[in-house]
Amino acid sequence: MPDALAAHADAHGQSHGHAAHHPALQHHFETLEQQKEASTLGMWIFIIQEVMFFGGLFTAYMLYRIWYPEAWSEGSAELDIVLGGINTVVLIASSLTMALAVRAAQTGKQKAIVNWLIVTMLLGLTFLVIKGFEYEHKWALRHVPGLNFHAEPGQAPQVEIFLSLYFALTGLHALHMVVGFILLAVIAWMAHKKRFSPEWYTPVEMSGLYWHFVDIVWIFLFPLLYLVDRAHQVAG
Amino acid sequence: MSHISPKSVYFTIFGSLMALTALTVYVAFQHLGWLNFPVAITIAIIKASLVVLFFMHVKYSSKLTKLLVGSTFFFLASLFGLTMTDYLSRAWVTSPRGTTTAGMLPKLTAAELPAVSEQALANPEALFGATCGSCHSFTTKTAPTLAEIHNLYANDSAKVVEWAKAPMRKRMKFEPMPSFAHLGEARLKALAGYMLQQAAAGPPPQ
Repeated sequence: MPDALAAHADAHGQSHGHAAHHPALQHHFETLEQQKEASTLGMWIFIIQEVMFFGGLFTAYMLYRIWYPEAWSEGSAELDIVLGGINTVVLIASSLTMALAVRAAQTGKQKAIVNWLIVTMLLGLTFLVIKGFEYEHKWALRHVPGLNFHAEPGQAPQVEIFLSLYFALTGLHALHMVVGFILLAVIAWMAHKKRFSPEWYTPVEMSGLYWHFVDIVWIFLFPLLYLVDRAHQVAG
Repeated sequence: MSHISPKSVYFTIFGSLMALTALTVYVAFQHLGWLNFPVAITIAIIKASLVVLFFMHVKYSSKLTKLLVGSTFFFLASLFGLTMTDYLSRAWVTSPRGTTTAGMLPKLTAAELPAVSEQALANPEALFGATCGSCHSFTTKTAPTLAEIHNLYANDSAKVVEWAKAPMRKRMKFEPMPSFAHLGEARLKALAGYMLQQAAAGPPPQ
């Protein structure tokens, strides 16, 4: 424990009339390990409800895909595989840098935590900018259901359903990215203020779990939205 | 203290995720028929598992955390499974030949086919029930109704015979209709005549 923390712990112990403990340890936990275990479980329960939330949308996606395979094929062909693929690489890379930020926290490398978090945020921002260009292109083509939708001649009318789900799924995913970005900004500030130590870095690790979860959602979105029936489109 | 993975583990996982991303794009352009979708989903599940186990440290977490994470997949499978058993079976039809989807309706065997005699063809009601009538009724939601067929063909039973021999798929909301060419011209003519006559007469009074 750094001297400043030790001094604080001593003062805290004297004022409480009980044994000195780490300043991050809350009184209803026995040890830091136990506290971290509780935080991890709580974070996972939050992630499970997120999984069920996206699961409902994925179920809608599955049903309509089975009912309107032609529309799914034609709708997916409207999406840009190159941009979707680049975003997949960018997001997985941001998961790597996030994992390295957590590792820096585990090993007590204060400067590295901040640096890796900033790289992660920049990659997240890159993803959102590319997504923004994709949305802008869709808007220009008048392919945004509910706002300016215009059906292409000869296409199955249910392409509109595909695009509705495309915007619902990628939009909610992008919203999660924005929330994650703000979260990482706060954590990076805390890391800059040297609030974490190898004994206590729970906020870094929990933000990491959230960021990786958002990455996993995209891992499913990419093949489900961009790669439908591509073999036939090339042949046809 | 918690497990600290060497950096090499993170780079290896990142490399694997990149390779799997390239693989899923490559596979999407291969003609695998119905297998394209399951292969894409399997690759995505492998990628997600790598992230969960190594980036999210579940491999080194307590048994309780592992159980909790595992339960996610249980709930997700329940959500998909229970919903799909309902929706996927909605287009099923029950005919005297059993319950199945229209496209999979087994063909009548030679022994089950009524003879091509004037007497048998004069009243093809039973044959209709085992074939066209399995899907086409006045109230069906899995195929065009008899009223719709009447609107399309009126008295043109030759068109109905033609369609029954080589059906196409006009509307995606219905299962594809199987060909009934194996019934033979005479039976198809009798069936088409019977169907259009029933359709013109309208639904039976309640």
